[in-house]
Amino acid sequence: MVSRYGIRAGLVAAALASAGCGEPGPPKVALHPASGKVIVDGQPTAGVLVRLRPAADPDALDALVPFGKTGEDGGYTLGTYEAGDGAPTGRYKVTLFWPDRPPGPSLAEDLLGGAYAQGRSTPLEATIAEGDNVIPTFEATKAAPRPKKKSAARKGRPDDPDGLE
Amino acid sequence: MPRPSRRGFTLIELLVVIAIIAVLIALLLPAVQSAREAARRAQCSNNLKQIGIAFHNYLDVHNGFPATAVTLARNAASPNTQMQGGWCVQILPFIEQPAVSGAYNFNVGWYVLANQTAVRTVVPTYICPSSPRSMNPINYVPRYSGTAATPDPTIYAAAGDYFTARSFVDPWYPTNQQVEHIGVLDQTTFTPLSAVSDGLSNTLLAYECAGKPDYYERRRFVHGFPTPSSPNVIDRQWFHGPWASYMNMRITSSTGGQYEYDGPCVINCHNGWNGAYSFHPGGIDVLSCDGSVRFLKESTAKSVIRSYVSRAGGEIMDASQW
Repeated sequence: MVSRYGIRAGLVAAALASAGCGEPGPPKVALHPASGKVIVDGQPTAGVLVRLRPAADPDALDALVPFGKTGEDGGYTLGTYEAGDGAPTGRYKVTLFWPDRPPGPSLAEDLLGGAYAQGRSTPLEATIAEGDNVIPTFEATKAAPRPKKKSAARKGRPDDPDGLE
Repeated sequence: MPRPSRRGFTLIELLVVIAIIAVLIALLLPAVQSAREAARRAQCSNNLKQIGIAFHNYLDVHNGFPATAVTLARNAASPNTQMQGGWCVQILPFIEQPAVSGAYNFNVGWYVLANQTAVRTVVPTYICPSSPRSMNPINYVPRYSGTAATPDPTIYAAAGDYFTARSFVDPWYPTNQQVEHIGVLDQTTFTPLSAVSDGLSNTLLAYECAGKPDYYERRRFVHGFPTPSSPNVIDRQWFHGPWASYMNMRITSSTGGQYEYDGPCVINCHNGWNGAYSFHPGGIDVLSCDGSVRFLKESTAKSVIRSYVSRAGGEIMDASQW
């Protein structure tokens, strides 16, 4: 029967049309769920940025850097490609950065004073293993407020027209 | 009397024919849409090419690339309000817009009433046709009083989609530890070609951040303009995206949108502050200092983008990295 063949041909055409779309991205490594908590001066603190930089080379720009951001209870969940999707196994240096404002025209100050902000100098470490990971709680201390400079410095360098706000 | 036999189509046959036609149309429509997008992208990269030629003609006249913004002697009390016109204004004579250039007064800011004739003019070279925003000028340009700014609904400005990169910043360290890889244009003075020691073809001049002031994250429309509740000042005031303004941003990565700090995503994450964003699938159009235009893929490694943005970083760029 012609019509039966017609239906089959249509199905084959539809299958061909749906196949072959989408470009494969770079290969992704296996991720494992990981979460933890940050305490600043004994208090759970929201808005602290947690980054896990590879212990072997904390400054590697193209490394996979699992990231998280603390919520009201101080807890965070790590993500690597997307928020909350987990972290690859390995040893990491952990950086904490508590910006006083969202990214924008002016650079943020670190309310932790930059003490934990760089992979090379941070005292914090973590290890991600296979399976569910609960990272030991990090305890940080808040920096003493830095003396306010003149208003020009607060807005960026004096020759900085982009420091417009 | 026997009826003459008139064999017609059965219902099944008709349905099959209709189904086949439907499949063919379904195959064709995406192809048509992508052909239209390809045409828009061709025009978009042509705009960047024109901008590149204009930059080089400007260079021939002034012996340097323009500053990102013309600034007058600064008033110590209001250091950030003396910005008179961005690079788009300065290269106007070289993109065949001498009339708009003549209407612009560099003695006052782009945001004042006196410059409305020029600033409200839609300049097609500064707009990427893939950008879904309407062509009409947009109001709520800030009105300055000292350093304080209030959005003014009576002042309008036409939009632009092309930015220059002030620097590449990643990861995002605190102010006192910040490392910036400086981009080609200086903020206050001419940049001679000799300052671009990484090579003109290895240094970014301009790139796309399209669709402002509407805010998008990864192809998803998030909110329009103005959004007074937004914590980001550019969602409340129209000063970062009018072509006459300073069209200059840091490029940095994000874990998601414009409120997030460094993460895995640099290109086509969001079109807010520090975004690099287009409506082309897979990447953005970029203009190198030698005037060539190429496509920077979303998957480009951060180290390559950093080498490309920096004008004197001394990095080695391998063609296979693109």
